[in-house]
Formats: sequence, C-alpha cells, structure tokens
Amino acid sequence: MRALIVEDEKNLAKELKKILENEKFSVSLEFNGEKAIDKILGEQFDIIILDIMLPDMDGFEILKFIREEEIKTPVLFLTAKSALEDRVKGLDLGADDYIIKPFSSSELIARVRAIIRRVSGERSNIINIGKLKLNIKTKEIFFNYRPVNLTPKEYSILEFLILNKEKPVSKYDIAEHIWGDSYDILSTSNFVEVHIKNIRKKFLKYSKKQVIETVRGFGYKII
Amino acid sequence: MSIKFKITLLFTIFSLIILILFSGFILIRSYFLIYGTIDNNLEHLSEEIGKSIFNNKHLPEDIEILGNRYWITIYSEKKNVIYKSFLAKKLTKIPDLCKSFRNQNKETFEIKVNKKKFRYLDPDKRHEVSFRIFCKKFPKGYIQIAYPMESTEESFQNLLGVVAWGIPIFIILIAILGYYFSYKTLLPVNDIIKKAKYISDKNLNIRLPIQSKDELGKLCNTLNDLFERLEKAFKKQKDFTANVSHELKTPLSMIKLSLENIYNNGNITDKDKELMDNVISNISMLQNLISKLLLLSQIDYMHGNPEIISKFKKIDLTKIIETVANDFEDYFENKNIKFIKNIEKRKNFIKGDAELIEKMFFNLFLNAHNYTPANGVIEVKLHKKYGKIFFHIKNNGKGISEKKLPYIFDRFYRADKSRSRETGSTGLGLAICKSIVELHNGKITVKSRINSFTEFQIFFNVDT
Repeated sequence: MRALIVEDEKNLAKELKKILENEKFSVSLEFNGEKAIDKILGEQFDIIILDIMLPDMDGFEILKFIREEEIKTPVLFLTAKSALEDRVKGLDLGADDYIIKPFSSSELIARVRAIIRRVSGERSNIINIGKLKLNIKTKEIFFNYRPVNLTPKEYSILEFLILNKEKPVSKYDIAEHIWGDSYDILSTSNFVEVHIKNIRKKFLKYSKKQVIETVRGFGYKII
Repeated sequence: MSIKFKITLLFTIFSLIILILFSGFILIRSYFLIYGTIDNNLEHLSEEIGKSIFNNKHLPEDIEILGNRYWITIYSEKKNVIYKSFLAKKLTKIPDLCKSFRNQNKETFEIKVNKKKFRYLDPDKRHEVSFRIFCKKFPKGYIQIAYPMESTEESFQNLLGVVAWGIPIFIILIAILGYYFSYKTLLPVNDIIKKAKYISDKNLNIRLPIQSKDELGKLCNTLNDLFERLEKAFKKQKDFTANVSHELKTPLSMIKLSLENIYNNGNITDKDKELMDNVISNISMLQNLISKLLLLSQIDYMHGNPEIISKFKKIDLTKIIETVANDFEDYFENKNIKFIKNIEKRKNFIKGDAELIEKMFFNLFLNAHNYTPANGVIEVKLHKKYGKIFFHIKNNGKGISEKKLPYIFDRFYRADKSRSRETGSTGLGLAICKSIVELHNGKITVKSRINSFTEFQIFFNVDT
C-alpha cells in the first residue's frame, strides 16, 4: 500500500509517516501544495492524506484540481476546524473522509483502512477475522455465519477494534472515535467499558472464547 | 420620578408662578386705574360745585341729580354745614372729615360704614360698604363729597373671582398639555429602552432605529457606535478564544501522536508506561477542554448569525432523545440506576441542528448519570403542552444548594469541586447545554433540593 501525506507541519507529518509505516504502508511526504500536485500526477497512491491548511494553497483546491484530472485516489482530509464549521465543503468536493485534529493513531489507521476498503470494490467491504465477519458497508456482523445483533455504538466499537487489528486501542481513543472529543472523556471512556461488557455478553451466546481482549491499564484489542 | 413627570411638574410650577405674577400685576393695575378714575371724578365734581357755590353764590342746577349718586356736604368757612344732599342727610355715619383737616387743600379718604343703616343700599348682600371721600378746601368754605364703592368693589371682586377660578383651571390645562407633550417627545426613548434591553452579548449586531435628527437621534447614533465598538471587541475576544484553540490543535496532535508512537513501538518499562498513560489521559482531557471551548465559540458564532439559524432544518426531538436514552439505558443499568422513561411516542418537531441537540441531551443524561448514586432513580419525561415541547430529567442524589444553583450554567463553574475532579468534568457541560438550548430559542431551568433531587427542565417552541 502506498500513501502520500501532504502536511506543512514537518514534525506532525513525520509522526504520521511513522504510524502508517508501522501498518506496512510505504509513505511519501510533501510539505506544500504545488509539489504535492506534481507528486500525485506522477505517481500512483492508494490514499492521499491532505491537510486543508497549506502555505501555498488550501486542500480544497488541490482536491478540486486532482478530481478534474480524473484521479480517483481516495483523499482523507486533515483539519483543525471542528465538524460544524467545515463538515460539508470537503465531502462535497469529493473527499472520502475527514479527520479532525488532534486525533489518535488508532483513529487514523481505522479511517485509512476503512476508506481504502470502501473504494476498492464490493468484496473488500468484508473483513474476516477468524470466525468473525464484518461488512463495513452494510454494518453487519456475523459470527460463524450467524448474524450478531449489536446496537449502533457496539457495532462502531467492534469495527474500530477490527480496523486496528493486532494493535491495542486505548479506551480514550475508542471514546473519542465514538463520541468525538467534545464530551467528557472520562465519562465516555467508562461508557466504553459498559459497551465492551455488553458486546462480550452477546458473543457469549456463540462462543466461550472472547473476541475482545482487555489490555490492562490501557484498553482493548481484537483477538 | 420619571422625566416625563419631572418636566410636567417644572413646567406647571413655572407656569403657575408666571400666571400669578401676571394676574397680580393686572389686578393691581386695574385697582389703581379704577380708584384713580373715581378720585379724579370726585375732585372734578367738588371743583365744579365749589366754583358754583362760592363764586356764583348758588348751588349748581344739577345738584339734586348728583345728590342721588353722591353724598355731598358743603361747609362754610367756619365749618358749619351749609348744604347736605338728599343721601348725605340720611348718611349720618359719614364723619365730617373736613372739620378735622387743616393744612392741606384737599384730601382723599376711604372709610368703611355699616351699611345696614341704609336700606337703599341692599342690606342683605353685605354689611359693610366702603366710601371714597374727597374733601377740598376753598377760600370760602369746604366741600366733602363721598361715593359708595359698592359696585366698583363688586366688579373688583368679580375680577378676583375670575382670577381665582381661572388660575387652577389654566394650571390643570397646562399640566395636561405639558404631560402630553413630554410624553410625545419622550415616546422614542421608550422605544430605545425596549430595543436596548433586547440587545445582549448574543445579538450585538442589532442596531437602534434612528427616527429623527434631534437629540434623541444623536443618542441613538451614539449608542449604535457604542454597540459597534462592543461588537468588535466581543468578536475580537471570541475570535481570540477560537484562534487560540485552533492553534493549540496542531501541536497537540503532534504530542499525542509522538507519545503513542513511543508507547507502541519503543522499548519502555512498565513503570514508564504507567507514567505515559497518565500523560496520554491528561492530553485527552486537554483536548476535550479545547474542543469544548471551540464548540462554545462555534455556538456563539451561530447565535450571532441569523442566516445560519434560519437554515435550521426540521428535527424530531422524540427520535433524538430515544437514541440517547437507548445508550444510557445500558449505562444506567451498569450503575444499577432505575430509569423511568416517559416519552411521548409521537414525533415532536423543532427547527434546529440535530448534532447539537443530541450533544445537549447527552450532556444532560451524562450529568444525571454522574450525580446519581448507585441504586438511584432517574426520570425522563417529554410531552407537548400549549404549543411547546417540555423535557424534564430528574435524578435523586446530593442535589445542589440554593446558593450554587444560579451559577451552574456559568462557564467553568463546578458545583461539587471534588466530585467533578473525579469525573473529569471541565465545568463546561451545562454551559454548552444552555448555549445550545438558547440557540434554538428554548429555555432551560433547574430545580434542586439538597440531599433530595436535581431536575432540569427545557422547553422549545413546536415547529409545525
């Protein structure tokens, strides 16, 4: 998988690079809009992570330009603005998703994986982990080919853990993923525990083996 | 005292003073004029009579006719009565004043006489009548001529009466007119007061209408300039909060991601991990705080922009509350809290932003959840009444003291400081709720009794 990160904050860009490299991506970095466009026109990427605020042009312009050039590479916007302000604009222009700063590495990974799966055809919408099957498009979960009835929040948590497979996810990151960061984070991270408890209870019907593992003092991981 | 009243009072008092001075002047003037005329007349008559009797040695031909109106007495040089007119004969009470004067040639007196003695003077009306008496010395005798002031005094009394009645009537008229005009003049002031009362930090973009070019118009202009400056200052301050919050986001992202990278990849000891956990959770808290501040400034911004509010869509409160309540059922159950849900099944529409409204309900549910003891009770109610949608959420627990109650919607106010540290509360949750409710033209109130319950009530206008 190849990813391009366009972000003028060099330190942030490097951290992003590290995170994606850990997930076996090969990552290119660009720090301004003009060079980013050259790069996108010249090379093939699986995903472009694009900061909206760049020194020479804004992310919207870059997106508009590359879509006019018929380049369909999925684009994930990075924005410092809250959802209320800039929500629609990027998505209207054909961005695939946006992510609001500051975000966690788990959030970034989940979004990137979800976008790549969504744009690369029907079959890739289905994730299989052991006996667990998840359709990220229809938001259905199967265990051993039997549907599991989860509430929307429970589904989101499980999906988030599955998209971060192998990597433990902190309960704060889960809380932030589900509720955003404008809710009391301690309360919502406690609610995560409640949801995890209920998910486990529901899976108990199908298997004695747990699907979610607790990482002590940190969070959770999908088995 | 209102300005209207003050102006009327001053106006009336000054008018009263002027009226009194003016009528006093008129009265005094007419008094002297009338008496002067009579005195002149008497002098002229005595002159005529004197000439006739002392020079021509006979009484004037018309003395009998004059005698019907004047009291005429003629004295000799030795002050013996030579002649008394018909009336003077009857009027014994008029003293012979001529007898008492020596040096002067002429003199005017005024005396009062009991008039009961004089039938012909209409005794029923008054008991006293004044006489104007004129005495003149001639070389060969004296003439005393008197004139009853009855009719003159009566006219004068009439004049006084007119003044006495006229002044209060005019004063009342002036007061009414004065009040009316000051009311008319100050009417725009009431308008200004009404408009100015409506202007708050939420709608500083409103300006007062300028109706005239007079002092009031200038006042409106000045106030509008003031609002302009205030709006700019407020905006600057709000922009500052928003900008600072934005600026903090990128470095915060950096810190967060770096720490996570170290945490996930580095070879760090368990002890260091524990420390880093602490740092990471505090960063989450900081992020939470920044995000809440941004949310508040965002809501403030929306509040000041009617075009944003006018674009609000129809949203169903019932559905939003059900969604929030569904999640919280699990959380309440986890804490063994009894949850009584009393939500009308039918749709309840308002115009608004669904995401914000959901945030608001979530915060209220969260608040109830955090402050209800294990095994407590939370009651939620939604119903429509009088064209308004009412929402209540009531929980038992420690309650909030009356002293603290008025401040709980203030930004950064924490009613229970130790408890809120435990729950990681920023003290912004209820402030956000209030902002959201007010953005939607609703109202939020709180009731509480210590060691008993806390209840939040919200109402919105129904969107039909």
